[in-house]
Amino acid sequence: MKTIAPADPGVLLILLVEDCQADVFLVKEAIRKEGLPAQLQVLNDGEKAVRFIDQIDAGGEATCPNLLLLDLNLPRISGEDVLRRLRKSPKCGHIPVVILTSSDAPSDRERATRLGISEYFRKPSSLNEFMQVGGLIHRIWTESRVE
Amino acid sequence: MLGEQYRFLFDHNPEPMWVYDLETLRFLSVNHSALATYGYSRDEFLNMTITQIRPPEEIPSLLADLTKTAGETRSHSGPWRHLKKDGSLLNVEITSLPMEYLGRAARFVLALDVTGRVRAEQEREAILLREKEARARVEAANAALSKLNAALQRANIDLEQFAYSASHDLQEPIRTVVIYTDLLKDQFGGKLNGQADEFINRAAGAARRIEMLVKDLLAYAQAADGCDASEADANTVLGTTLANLEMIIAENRAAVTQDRLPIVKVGPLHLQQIFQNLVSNALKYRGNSPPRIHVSARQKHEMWRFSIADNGIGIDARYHKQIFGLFKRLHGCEEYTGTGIGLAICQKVVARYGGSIWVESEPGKGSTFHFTLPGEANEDYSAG
Repeated sequence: MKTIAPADPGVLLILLVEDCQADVFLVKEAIRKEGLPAQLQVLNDGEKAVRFIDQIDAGGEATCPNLLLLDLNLPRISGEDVLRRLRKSPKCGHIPVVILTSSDAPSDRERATRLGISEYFRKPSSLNEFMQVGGLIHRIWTESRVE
Repeated sequence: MLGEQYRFLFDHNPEPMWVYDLETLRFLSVNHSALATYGYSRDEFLNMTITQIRPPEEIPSLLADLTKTAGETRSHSGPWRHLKKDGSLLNVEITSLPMEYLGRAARFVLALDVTGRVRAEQEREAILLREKEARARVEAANAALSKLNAALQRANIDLEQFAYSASHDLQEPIRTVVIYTDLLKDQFGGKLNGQADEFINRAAGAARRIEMLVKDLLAYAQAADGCDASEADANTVLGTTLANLEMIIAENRAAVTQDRLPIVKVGPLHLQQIFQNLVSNALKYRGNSPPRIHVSARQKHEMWRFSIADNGIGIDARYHKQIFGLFKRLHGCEEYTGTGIGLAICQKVVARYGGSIWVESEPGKGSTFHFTLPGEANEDYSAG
């Protein structure tokens, strides 16, 4: 598995867990437009994401990302379970998480909020609105660096 | 003489009486009442046995009873069926005592006519039976009805579930189509030759329309779903609705007026859905002059009839029913926007509360939409 290598602190390491390639492209596009110095790693199912966190906790060579962009409706292991696993991680449990989902079900939003998320981004159906995810990532990264 | 006095009592007793020979079963003596009741003359009687005043099918049980009661001093039995000379039957209860008559071992019999009582009992039993049968039929019909009802409810739930999942699952790929046509326009708009831009625009327009239809389908599937509160002050709800529509009202220079409205027994969000759809329709299908919309309510028994009257373009009577159907529209999408879901939602919500919705309208003369909802029956707001 490709892993995020330890990098320059000026580079934003983003882990995107998303199975829909169309949305992966849009996130990349939003980051590019925002001009963020980001390095993006994409995993396309929940199981890979859990294994990735397991590896980091086991002292593997991968580093914790600075930010997790997480879809809720994922193959094999749901985004909610990935988030639950992440929050238990001694190494990465604290990182900011942005939920990227097409679900506007209040129950999904509530459960994710309870597990501690920075933002719940409902995938919009207009290009301009989708591109706002770039600004959102920028803001959260800036805030997390101040803390 | 004592003997003659007893004879007199026997002969003139109002109940039929007789004496029969235990061995030959012949009548040895009968009284007047027996003659009158059974229709035989005394001579005829005295030539008959007691089996001859019984219907043939009862003779075996008579003989069995005689054997059983032969030694008894006094026996009471019945009711029995006895046969008259004219072939008709009567019901009697028999009291009998052993006696010696003219040197023969005999039995004295008093036959009490209980035909009337037996018939009344039979009629009562017949009525009870009919009642029981009728009750069984009603119960069977009820059971069939509730089975049908349950099946219908399941079908409705399935249908709503289907509409919900279908529209939910459809939203995902549609969203992608919409965004990617945007992206195409964004990055290649004006850079391609000929009609490419027009094609992109058409695809984008159609994608947006599918998106809207699916969203509305979802809204329809969810309309009339659970709502916590069960009472709504229609004045407040209309206020909220008009606040939501403030911009469109201002753009159209519309005047919305209202009477004092009642409190109704419906979820406030449900009432808002109805107001929102009807008022925005009144604004959308406006005529040349600025829209004037009036909301009123009148009480009819335990239901309130709301009316929303406008001075808009009106609707031909041919369409008064079909406009409440799902995705039913009277105008092309370039003429007026919308998917044809609003009135279907109104109808679904109103139906949930046992109400109805209809329109009175003529082309060019405005429309009045009426709908009924349950409410408090004791206050009169209708004067407003």
